[in-house]
Amino acid sequence: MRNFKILALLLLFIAPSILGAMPTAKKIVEKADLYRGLQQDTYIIKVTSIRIRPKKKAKKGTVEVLLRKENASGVDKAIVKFLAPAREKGRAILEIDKNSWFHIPKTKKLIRITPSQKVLGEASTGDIAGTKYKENYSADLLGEERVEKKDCYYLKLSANNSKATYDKIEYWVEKKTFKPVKAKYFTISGKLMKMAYWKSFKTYRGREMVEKLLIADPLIKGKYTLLINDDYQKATLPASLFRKENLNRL
Amino acid sequence: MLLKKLVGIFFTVIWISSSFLLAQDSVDEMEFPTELLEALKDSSTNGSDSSNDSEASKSFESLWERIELATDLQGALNSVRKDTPLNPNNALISYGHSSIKARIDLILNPKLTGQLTLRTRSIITYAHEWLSTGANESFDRYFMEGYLQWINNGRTIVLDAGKQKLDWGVSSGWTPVNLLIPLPQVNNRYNEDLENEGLGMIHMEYSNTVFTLNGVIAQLKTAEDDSGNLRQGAFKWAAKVDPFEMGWVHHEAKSTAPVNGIYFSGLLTDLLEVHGEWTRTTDRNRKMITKVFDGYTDGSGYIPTYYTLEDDDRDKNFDKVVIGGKYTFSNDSSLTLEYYYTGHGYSESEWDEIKNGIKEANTSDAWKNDNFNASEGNRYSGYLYSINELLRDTRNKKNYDLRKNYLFAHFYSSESDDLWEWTYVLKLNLDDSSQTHSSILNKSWSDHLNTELTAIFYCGAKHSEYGLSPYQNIVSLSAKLLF
Repeated sequence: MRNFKILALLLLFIAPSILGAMPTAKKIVEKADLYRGLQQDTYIIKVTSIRIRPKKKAKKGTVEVLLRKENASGVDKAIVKFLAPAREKGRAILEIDKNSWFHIPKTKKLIRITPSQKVLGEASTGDIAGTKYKENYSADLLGEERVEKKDCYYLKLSANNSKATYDKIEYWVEKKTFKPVKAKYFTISGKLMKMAYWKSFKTYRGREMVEKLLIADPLIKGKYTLLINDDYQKATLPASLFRKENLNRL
Repeated sequence: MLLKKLVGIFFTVIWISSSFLLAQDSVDEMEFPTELLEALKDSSTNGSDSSNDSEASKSFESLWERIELATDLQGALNSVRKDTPLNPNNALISYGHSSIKARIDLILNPKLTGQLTLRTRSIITYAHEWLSTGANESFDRYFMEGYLQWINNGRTIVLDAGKQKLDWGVSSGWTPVNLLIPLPQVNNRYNEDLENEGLGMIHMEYSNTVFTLNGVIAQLKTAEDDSGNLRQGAFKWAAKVDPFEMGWVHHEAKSTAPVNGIYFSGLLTDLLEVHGEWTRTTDRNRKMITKVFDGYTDGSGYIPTYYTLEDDDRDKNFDKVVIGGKYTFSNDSSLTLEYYYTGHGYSESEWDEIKNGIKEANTSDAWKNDNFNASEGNRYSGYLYSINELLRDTRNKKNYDLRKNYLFAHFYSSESDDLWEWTYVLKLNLDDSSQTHSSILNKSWSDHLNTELTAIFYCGAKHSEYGLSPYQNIVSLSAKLLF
């Protein structure tokens, strides 16, 4: 009886600490979000994209992305300015949730584009911006798996609002560091749209964040877009900057 | 035999499925192409702080970012109609059958202070055109835009002063809510495929979280009065009411009736966008066909019926409506379809009068008969000139189509991996079934060199809108150097 009491007391003290060490799915996603981009600020990043297609010459481009994250909705507003190559220079996109407008140089016409139109290879503005998964998806921890030679938490994320770009995401986060490792993105019909690999991280102004993100087309072997983030610059970007009329004034 | 076939099909299916599945699963341990591996390795030291960029190189970049320079060399072959009753035997107007054109297009937007920017666009053109009557050479420069722009720190107020182009429409084929009356077309052949220069104006924009308000006072130049004073004004109020953006526009100008309009655009699904525009005014922007006298016979022979074009002074509402949408396919190509109605266009009976006027002017070559000369020349050839002018407007100006009902289709292939793009545009006159077909094939050979092959076909019956076009088709090839 005495032994039983000691065992019960031990369990009473040890169990919470064991349970406390096991992070919840929400906590894992929240910690991984911190590596995917600045979460609460307005900032500017320069991104180099390298588009690779099977048996084709790689194409390189540079864009500057102006981001404004608002309240609890992750990235709400983004402006993408095309800086290079020369044939794309001057183009710009404004993205507010699922509404996007496209500006072509030499015209004052702003063209509304649908969310499914691709203008940055396989990558979406959300990929560049590091949309908050914590806010837009509910997460379930399905287990642990070894992916990309790393021990990872294996999670399933489901969209919990209409602003979420994807319906479901399979998500692998490194156990040791909580850095995102890999994700698979699915449409409502369950079709695998694309896969993402966070290949390297770098310290920008004292914070470690993603530097290289690889987006792969699941159906065409050898079709990739590599995004290389140059720098994260905090900037004052008023909400009124993110209006379609301003695409002509960048 | 059948069993052999079935086994063959079975293994083929297995092979295709496995390669498909492998394509998906093998990504975990994928072997990246060398270029990609190099890019992945070519990392600045992992973990180091990269916040100390050279300010000097940044300022050079930002200056270069504010310049866009393009040079364009174009050769065109035009198939000119010989049998058009508007230009019998090409005797009235000499249209070019081939041309070589060169163009330098420079956009320069230097930031003068944190809030003040100068925005300019200039075009220099050289054209050598071969006409049926000989060659013609022209060298021109156009100051398309040049204005000062001030924006407050909160980006809620914008003030522009100078020569500027505004585009308020949300549609593609026609934009009725683009209400400012543009400058008259510059009398230069090269400018036929070049948009008009901007208008001198003072423009103000105010925005808050609920709405955006634009107000503009602009110069007005007409064929009757080219003083170019600030004699037209417009304002636009726009708001976002999810999932749509909608607005109201109003325009006033000296000697014309006010115009009111509304528009909307929005997403119905992730693949389908819809939009629409509507305007109403009591002034018709078409000349009305008026019969001066019926044909008769006198001692000298038959005097054909004679028509003129005069302002339409009827006090009635004239509407323009565009309704359409854009669908994006899974391969990223897109199709835009629009229906356009314009009350300003000619009705069936008015068009019959126009056709009759053309036929009468061609009766016994009345257009070149000296007996019908008035103080300004032969009145029948004058009538044919006027109709030619109307047709030129339909080619060069948006929203100046001659009839009432139209369909517009625009297909864009999206950019291929080899940087090919194909655009096809159809404009169909639903009243007389005449059409224009445009096919544009674009290829980027490098980051700086781009070529474009364009073919435009004008099809329709002899007296239909596009059948009366002086050109049967226009084929051009252009090479662009971009910096």
